[in-house]
Amino acid sequence: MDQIYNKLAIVGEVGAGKTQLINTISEISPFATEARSSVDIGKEFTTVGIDYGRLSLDADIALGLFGLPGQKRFSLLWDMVNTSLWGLVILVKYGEGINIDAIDDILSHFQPLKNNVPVVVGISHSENATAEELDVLMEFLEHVLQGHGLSAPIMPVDPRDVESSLMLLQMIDAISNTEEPEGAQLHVG
Amino acid sequence: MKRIACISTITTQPDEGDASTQLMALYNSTRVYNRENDITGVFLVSDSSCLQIMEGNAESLANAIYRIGRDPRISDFSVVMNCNADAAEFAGWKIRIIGAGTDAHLDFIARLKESLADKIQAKSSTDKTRLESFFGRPELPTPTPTTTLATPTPAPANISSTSKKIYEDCVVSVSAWPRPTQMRMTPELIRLCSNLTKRPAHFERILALKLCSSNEKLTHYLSVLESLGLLKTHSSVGVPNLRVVSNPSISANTAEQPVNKTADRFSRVLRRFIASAKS
Repeated sequence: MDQIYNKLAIVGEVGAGKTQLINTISEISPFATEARSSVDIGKEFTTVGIDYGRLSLDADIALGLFGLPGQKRFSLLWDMVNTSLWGLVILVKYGEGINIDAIDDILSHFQPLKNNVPVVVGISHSENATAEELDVLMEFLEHVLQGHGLSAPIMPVDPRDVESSLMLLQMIDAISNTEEPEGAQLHVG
Repeated sequence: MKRIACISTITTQPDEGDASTQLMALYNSTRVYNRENDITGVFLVSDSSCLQIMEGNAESLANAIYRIGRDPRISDFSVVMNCNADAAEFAGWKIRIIGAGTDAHLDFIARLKESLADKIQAKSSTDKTRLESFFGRPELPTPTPTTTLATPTPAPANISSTSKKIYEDCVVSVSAWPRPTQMRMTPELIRLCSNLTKRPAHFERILALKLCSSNEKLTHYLSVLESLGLLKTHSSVGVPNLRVVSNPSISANTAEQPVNKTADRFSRVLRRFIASAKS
């Protein structure tokens, strides 16, 4: 039987929780690519390059997890991963304003609509946010997604929590298993 | 450009003076921020309620709203309007104090109401009450309050049967995913939204695809989505460009859905893994 290897890209700004998310899901640790930060970014270690994790689902089935920095200047790294993606997770860190340009850049580069790649947006560090505060953030994220012709689930995520992290995979799986257009029930014309 | 309105309640912090001091501090910080970010608009106060209408580019407004929502001087923050605008309604406005109850005040409110009230939507009964303190008791569109589902319980029988009848004749689609703050994302709801955000589907077709375990649940989900303003219904009768394929073909398509075997196997194994990891 053929081996199945799918790729999930996890893109987000510094401190959004990409490394932690991969560490929570993966069977191998991504922390090996961490280095001590030379400037104050709110944490001692940060990721250099790409985080990589792997989830073996069966003897011949695996999911590769690629954590990528969210800034456009790292688009070279995006290109290294952006082929035949199974899904794209955009991690947004709650609490420091919204960098709409950065999310725009990610969506423009990955072009999930054109490439038919399911997208899920996860909001991390939102444990202390009220429902109203989350609503405001989600409203603007929806606006950004709509600008790229997308409607995608937006959900709070705790990258330290297994169940919360797996919910992202569950969402991607559900979207990627949507009925194909050939099977659609509507005739136009 | 975008035009956004938000309503909030001014809180009194014990160590920062009375409500008037709080109000002026809030107003001043908003004024400075809006000027620096090319945001125009109005700042209205009625008792402890504050209604801000702002215009500007989307990113500036996003950051302004985000900032206001986290301001400790206010509580019960709610966005009650978010729409596109061709031109600024309040460009070049300077601060002006209008005495309550004067002709100028009433004219201003009437003008505001005429141009914006139909776009303002109260999201809760609190919003409605606060908006009424500005506009009186107008015919503001008041959608059903946000619903939080603890469990997917069926809707009351009378609503359910009425809705079902309506949905059965309809092709439906979902304009946007519900937020987790609005509905609990159950596996059924995720499957439903995945399909209906991509393309419209007839009620019968959704049932045939077994996206929901029962008619009642499907009807319930659709009615909640409708109450949130996320469901679009298109009658399948009399719409020339939208015709439903006959039932046999629906059944046939469902029975022998063309699936990518690799994707299907991956999905099955992943779902099994997630289920075991969660248990």
